[in-house]
Amino acid sequence: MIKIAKIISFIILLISIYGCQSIKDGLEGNKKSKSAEEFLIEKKNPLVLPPDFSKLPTPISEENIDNDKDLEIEDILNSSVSEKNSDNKPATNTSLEESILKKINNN
Amino acid sequence: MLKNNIITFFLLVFTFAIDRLSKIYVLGLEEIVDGNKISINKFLNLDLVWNKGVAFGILSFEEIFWYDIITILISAIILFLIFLIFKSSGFKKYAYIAVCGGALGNVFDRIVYNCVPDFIDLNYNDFHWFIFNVADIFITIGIFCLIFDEVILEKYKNDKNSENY
Repeated sequence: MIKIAKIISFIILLISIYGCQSIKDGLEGNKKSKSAEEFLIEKKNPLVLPPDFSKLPTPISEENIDNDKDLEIEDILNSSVSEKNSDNKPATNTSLEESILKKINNN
Repeated sequence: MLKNNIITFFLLVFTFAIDRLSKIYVLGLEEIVDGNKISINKFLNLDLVWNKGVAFGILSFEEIFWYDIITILISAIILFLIFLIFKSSGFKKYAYIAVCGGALGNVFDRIVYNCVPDFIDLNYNDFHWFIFNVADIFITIGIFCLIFDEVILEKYKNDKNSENY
């Protein structure tokens, strides 16, 4: 008699533990757990330096690049101005002189 | 005899206290009370579920009725288990203490909160076991120990006795 009472009481206890609520959730499909898993944040490995990182060439700094560009532009401008001064001015002077001389001769 | 009873009482209170402390700790975590999961590792999450133990009732009145019936039944089982604790000895006694302590923890929640908070979510490859609590662990281990005692140890004892005769 006690043995039967023991078995019945253990069955009732186990039913109360795992409850009908859990079975109902299982039958319905536990949406809560599925939807909650979508927002679980997976831990990522910490960032690690690539191998032979020290051997990689160092990049040229932006300031140096800008300075180089400025210098190049200045060089181009200076050279063009000097060329104009050296080539164009005597040419214009000679042509003016020639034209004046021609007019004088004609008169 | 008195010393034995004190140890029994202490163990019973100890199992009940472990369960209560775990529930107090979990219910104190804001993240879990707000309905979020706490992932401890790949296989273990903390996820709070309030288990009423009755969900097949169509009307709420029926649910309350069956809930009360189950609570009274479990209370009666606890009294029966206390009787068994004092009647048994050795390995069986400790198994009964584990079952009784766990059942006391769950009945306390049934009376105070009107449902039992379950929060341990074991899972493997998207397969989730029933969400349970520390009291459930005590009850399950206790029942398994009693089954083991009844099926294997009792058989072993009977075989030994028959050999002696």
